[in-house]
Amino acid sequence: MKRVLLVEDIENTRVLVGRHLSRKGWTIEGCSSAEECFATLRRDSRFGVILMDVGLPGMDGLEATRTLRQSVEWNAIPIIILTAHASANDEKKAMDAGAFSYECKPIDFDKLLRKMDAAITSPT
Amino acid sequence: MDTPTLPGQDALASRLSSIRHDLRNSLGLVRGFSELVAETLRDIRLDDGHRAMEIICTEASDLTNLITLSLVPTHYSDDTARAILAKILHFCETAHHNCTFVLTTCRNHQLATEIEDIAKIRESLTTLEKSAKARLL
Repeated sequence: MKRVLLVEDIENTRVLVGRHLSRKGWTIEGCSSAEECFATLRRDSRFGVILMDVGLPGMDGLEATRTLRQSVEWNAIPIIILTAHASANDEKKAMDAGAFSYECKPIDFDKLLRKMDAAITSPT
Repeated sequence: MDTPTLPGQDALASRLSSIRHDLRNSLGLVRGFSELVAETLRDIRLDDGHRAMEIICTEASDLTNLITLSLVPTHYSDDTARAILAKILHFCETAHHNCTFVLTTCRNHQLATEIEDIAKIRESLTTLEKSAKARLL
């Protein structure tokens, strides 16, 4: 399902990611915090993948990822962590939290799209 | 096991990580919106405009790599910071110049979305410039 939930607090980044992905046939819904992400999923959880920023106001993206992984309803939705922190340790933190994959900013959209395609076709 | 660190090294590492984060974020927006405009201009064969946007994309990528490699405790010095600041300011100046040129092209061809994208590139360049001056001077 080429439908993605983007959790990102910087509006221009939401616009940018949305523009790139919609050009490639994805439908995007955006929200700006972990709490808003949970509220969106309660209304409708039919997303093929979640793109999760780390530096969110309130609950951060790593904690939100752990919460989603532990939930009964949403633990099958693959999560790709997006962050401007780019060290190997940051990647390890993302994977330890239960992310499907990790992509650092500035986003390489070709690479991100390949990961998103892999996420929606991988067995859960 | 964590590697032992010298006093003050953790604070420097944390400060540089925060600076890298901010600069990479702004550069990501500049590059991402420039890629969108470049793609549109390529598709409608506005070659000069396409090239001007491609230059911004390439330079933003180079600058990101430089920041990632240089703003680390093992390479950091006041001279490094000054050199990176000079490169960022030079990049911002030439990118603004290229945006002005492409904006005229977009207006002439009534490309409303691309005009909005160029406004976002300029906004991000201004943020990048302010952030670099505040944190690298």
